[in-house]
Amino acid sequence: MPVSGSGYGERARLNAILDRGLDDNVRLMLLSAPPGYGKTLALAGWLESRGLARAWLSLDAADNDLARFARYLVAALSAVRPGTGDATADLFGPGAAPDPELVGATLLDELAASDDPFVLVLDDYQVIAAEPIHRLVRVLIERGPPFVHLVLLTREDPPLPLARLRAHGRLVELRVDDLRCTDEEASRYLALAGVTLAPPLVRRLVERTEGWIAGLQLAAISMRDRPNTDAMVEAFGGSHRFVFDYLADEVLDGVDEELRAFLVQTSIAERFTVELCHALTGRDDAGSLLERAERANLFLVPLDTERRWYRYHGLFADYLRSHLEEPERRALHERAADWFDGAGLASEAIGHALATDSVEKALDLVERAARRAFEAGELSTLAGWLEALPPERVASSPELASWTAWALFETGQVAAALDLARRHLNASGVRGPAEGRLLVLQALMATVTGSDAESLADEGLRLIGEDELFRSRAYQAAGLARLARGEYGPAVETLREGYAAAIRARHPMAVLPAVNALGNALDVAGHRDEAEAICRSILEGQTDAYGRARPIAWSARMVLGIVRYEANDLVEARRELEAGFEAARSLGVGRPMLGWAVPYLALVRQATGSPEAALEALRVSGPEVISTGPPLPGLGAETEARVLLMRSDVVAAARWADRATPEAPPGSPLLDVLRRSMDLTIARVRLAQGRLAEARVLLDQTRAAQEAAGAIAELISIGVLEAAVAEAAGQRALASRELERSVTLAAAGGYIRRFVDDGGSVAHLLPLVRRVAPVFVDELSAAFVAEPTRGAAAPKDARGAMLWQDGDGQPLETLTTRELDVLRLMAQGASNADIAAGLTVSLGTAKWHVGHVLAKLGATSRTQALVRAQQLGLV
Amino acid sequence: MQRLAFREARASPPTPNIGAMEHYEIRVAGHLGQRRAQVLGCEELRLLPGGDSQLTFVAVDQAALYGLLTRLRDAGLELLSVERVAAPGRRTAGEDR
Repeated sequence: MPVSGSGYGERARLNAILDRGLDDNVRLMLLSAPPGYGKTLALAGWLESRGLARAWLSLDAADNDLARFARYLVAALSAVRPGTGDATADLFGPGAAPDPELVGATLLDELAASDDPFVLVLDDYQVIAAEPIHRLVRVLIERGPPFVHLVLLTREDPPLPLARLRAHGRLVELRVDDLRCTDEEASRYLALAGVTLAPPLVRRLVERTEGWIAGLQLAAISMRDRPNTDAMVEAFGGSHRFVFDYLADEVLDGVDEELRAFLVQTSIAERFTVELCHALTGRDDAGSLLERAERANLFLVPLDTERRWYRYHGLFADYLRSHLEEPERRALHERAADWFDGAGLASEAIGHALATDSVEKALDLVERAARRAFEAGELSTLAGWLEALPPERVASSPELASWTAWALFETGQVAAALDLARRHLNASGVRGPAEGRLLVLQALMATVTGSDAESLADEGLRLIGEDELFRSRAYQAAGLARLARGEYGPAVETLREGYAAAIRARHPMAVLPAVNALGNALDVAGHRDEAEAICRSILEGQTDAYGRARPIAWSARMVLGIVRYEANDLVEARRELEAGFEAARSLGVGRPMLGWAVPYLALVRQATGSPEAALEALRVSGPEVISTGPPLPGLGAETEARVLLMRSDVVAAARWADRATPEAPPGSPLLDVLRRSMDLTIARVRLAQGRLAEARVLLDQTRAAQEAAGAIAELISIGVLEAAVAEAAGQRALASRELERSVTLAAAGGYIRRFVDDGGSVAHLLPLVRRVAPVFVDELSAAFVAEPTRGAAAPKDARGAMLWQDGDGQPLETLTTRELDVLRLMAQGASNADIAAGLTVSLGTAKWHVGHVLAKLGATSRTQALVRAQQLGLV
Repeated sequence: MQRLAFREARASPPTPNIGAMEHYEIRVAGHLGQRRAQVLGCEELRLLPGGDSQLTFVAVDQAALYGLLTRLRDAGLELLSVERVAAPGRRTAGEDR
C-alpha cells in the first residue's frame, strides 16, 4: 500500500466527512474522482490521523480473476488479521469454481472471529470489470459486519447499489467537489512545498487548476526554485483550465537531461525497484536518481514501508510514456519482461512480453507460468494469456494445448476440450508429459462414453511421470472404468492409489474428487468402515475454529453421510449429506459428479420424514451445473420407485418397473451396472406385488452378476430380499439361510440400514441367525425396534449446538463461541446496549451478533429465540 | 460460473471493415499539446478560443470508443462532449459551411 506523508498537511474538512464512515450503519465508503484529485492521499492521511488498522489492496487490470483477486485480498487482510483467509484460499484450486457468494460468506465468517475494527481499502477499483468480483464486493457490502469498514477508491462510480445505499444513509462519499483544494488548503500546501504566493495569486492558481491537486503539485514544483513566482502566475495567461501535460512540460523542462531520460524510461513499468530501474536504464546510480525524483516531489509513490517498490502516480506515468518512441518503447518492454521473469513475477513479465509483439518470449513465459495459474484455479488469468497469443502457436505448443484443454474441461466446455485434445494428439509425433495430461483428460471422459479408459489412463501415467496431481486423476479414470465394469476389488485397489497420489499432491482440490470415487467403491465393496475412517480423518483436517467443516470438504461429508446411512445413523447421515450437497453446489461441482450420492439423499430424506424433499432431490432443477468431472448418469427414476415403495404406493412403483430402462448413453460401460441396480428395485416391486417367482428370477440373476463383481453391499440387499421372498412363499428355512448369508456379509463393515430398508418382513427371524454375529444381530434388532418411533430428533453436538429447523428438517449451522456468549447474555435479560458493554464491542456489532443468533435459531423475536434455546438445552 | 472463450485457430485474422468506422468529435477542457494528441491517436486537434480542445477520432466500433474515453480520463482530461459526425470533407445534405 502507498506510504503517506506527502506534506499536504491535515485536511480536517475531509477527515470530518470520512469519520462518518465509521458509523455502524454505514456500509461503504467511496472516494470517486478523476485521477490526480488526491483520493489516495486523503484516505491515507485520514487513516494515519485516526490511527486506524487497515488492509490495503491496490488493484490492477490483471486482478479481474476471482481466484487471483481473492488471493491478493487474503494477503492484504493478513496484515491486519494474521492467519485469516485459509478457508477462503482453500476454495480455489484446480477444478474449483466457487460462487462469489460462497467466497464472500466464507471470508466474512473468518473475519468474524474477532471484532476488532479495521478498514479494508480497495484502491483503483475502476480496473475491475469482472462480474464475479463485483458480486463478491456486493456480499461484503450487504453482509459485512459493522467492524469491517470497506472503502473503495475509484476513477468512476462502480456498478454497485450506490443509489440505494445513499438513500438509506449507508454510503459516505468523497467526490471531486469535496476533493478540490480550497484556497486555504492550497496556500498551506504551497507553503509546505517552499512556495510563497500572495493570496490573490493563490486564488488565480486555484482557479486555473480548479483545485486539482495534481496540477497544484506541478505548479509548485515549477515555482519552487524560480525567483519571480508572481510574474509566473501572471504569465499563466488566458482563462482556460490547465491540463496536466502543459504543467508537466514546464516541470520537465526544468529537470536535467539525465533525470528526464531516467523518468521516461522507468515509466514503462507499473511498479519498479531500484534493480529494475537499473535494468531498464543501464544506470548504476539508479538508486540516487530515484532519491532525487522523490525529493523533487516528482509523483513518486513508495509502495511499502521498506521502500523497495515504487510507482509513479498514474497521470505522471502516462505523461512520461507519451514521450517514448516506438523502438525504445519495445526495447524497454523487453528488458522489463526479462527482469520480471528473473524475479519470478510471471504475470507482469507476461504483460510486458505481450506488449513487445515478441511472440517467442511471450509464449515461453506463458508456458512456464500456465501450470501455476491452473493449480491456483486462476482460469480467467490463464485464458487471458492464451487469448493474447496467436491461436495456431497455442495449438501447436504441447504445454499450452494441454493447459487450454484442461481449463476448458474444468469450466464445463467438455466438447471443446476433447476436440483440442484429439487434434493435438493426432498432430504431435513426440509424446511427453503434456500429451500424458491430454490422455488423462480423454481417459476421464472415456469412463462414460468409451471403452478404453484404462488403456488411455495407463499410457497417460507412463508419460506424466511424477506429477501427483495428474497421476491421481489418471488412477481415478482407471478406477472408475473398473467400477463401471463391475470389478469392485480391482477398482478399490486403483482408487486407493489415486487417493494416495492426491494426498501427495497436497492440494485439497485434488484430494476431494478422489474421496468421492474411492468412497463409492469402498462402500459397495464391503469396506464401509474404511470409507468412514477416511472421511473422518479428512474432516479433522478441514474444520475451522468452531469445529465446522469447510465447504471444500464436500465430498468427505457426502461419503460420510452415505456410510452413516448404511450404518443406520439417520440423523448424522442427513446432516452430512445435506451439507455436502450444499457445499458442492456452491463450489460449482457438477451434478453428474454427485450422481451416485443423490439416491442416498432422497432415501434419507424419506426416512427422516421429509417425503416431498425426497422427490425434490431427484429432480435436476435449476440452472445446469457444470461438470468438473466425467458425467455419471443418475439413478433418478429407480430411486423414485424405491421412495414410492417406502410410501406403499405399489401401483406407481409398478408403473416404473414395467417400463424401466437404464439411463445411460448407448454403448456406455455403465449400462451393466445400472441394469443390475435397476433389476434389484424391480425385484422389490415384484415382491411388493406378490409376484414372487419373478422377483426370485431377478434376484438370482443379479446375485450371480454381483458376486462376480465383488459388490458386497448389493449382495447384502439381495440376500435380505431373497429372505423376504422365501418368507412370503412360506419357505422359512430358506429365508433364515438367506438372512444368515447377508448377516455374515454385513457384520464386518457394519451395514445395518439395508436390513431395515428391505427386511421388515423378516426381522422376526433375526434370533434364528444370531449366532453368526451376536453383537451385530443385536444392533439390527435394536434398529428395527427404533424404526417406527423415529422422528426428527435434535441431538446436541459436543462442540456447540446442532440445530434442526422445524418442518422440513433442514439442519442449521452451529453457533459460534461469540454467539453463544451473546445468547447467554440475552438469557439474562441483557439489552443490545448491555451486550455491547458486556463484550466491549460497538452497539452495531452487538446487534449484528444478536441478529445472527436469531436467524440460526429460526426465531423472529428474542423471546422465541430463548424458548428454542431452552428446548435445545443451550441455556 | 463464467464460461471462458478460447479462440479457435483460424486460417487468417479477420480484417476490420473500414467502411464501418465512425468519426467522433470529442471536446475536453483545456488546450492539449500535439504530442498528447498524437499519442491518443486522434486525426485532428483544434484548440478552441473558449479554452477547450476539440479532438477528432475514428473509432471502429463502440468498444473502441469506450476504450478511448477511458484513456482520456486516465490522461486527466475533463470530458465535455462526444458527438458522432460525418467524416470531415463530406457534408450531409442541406448543411451550411
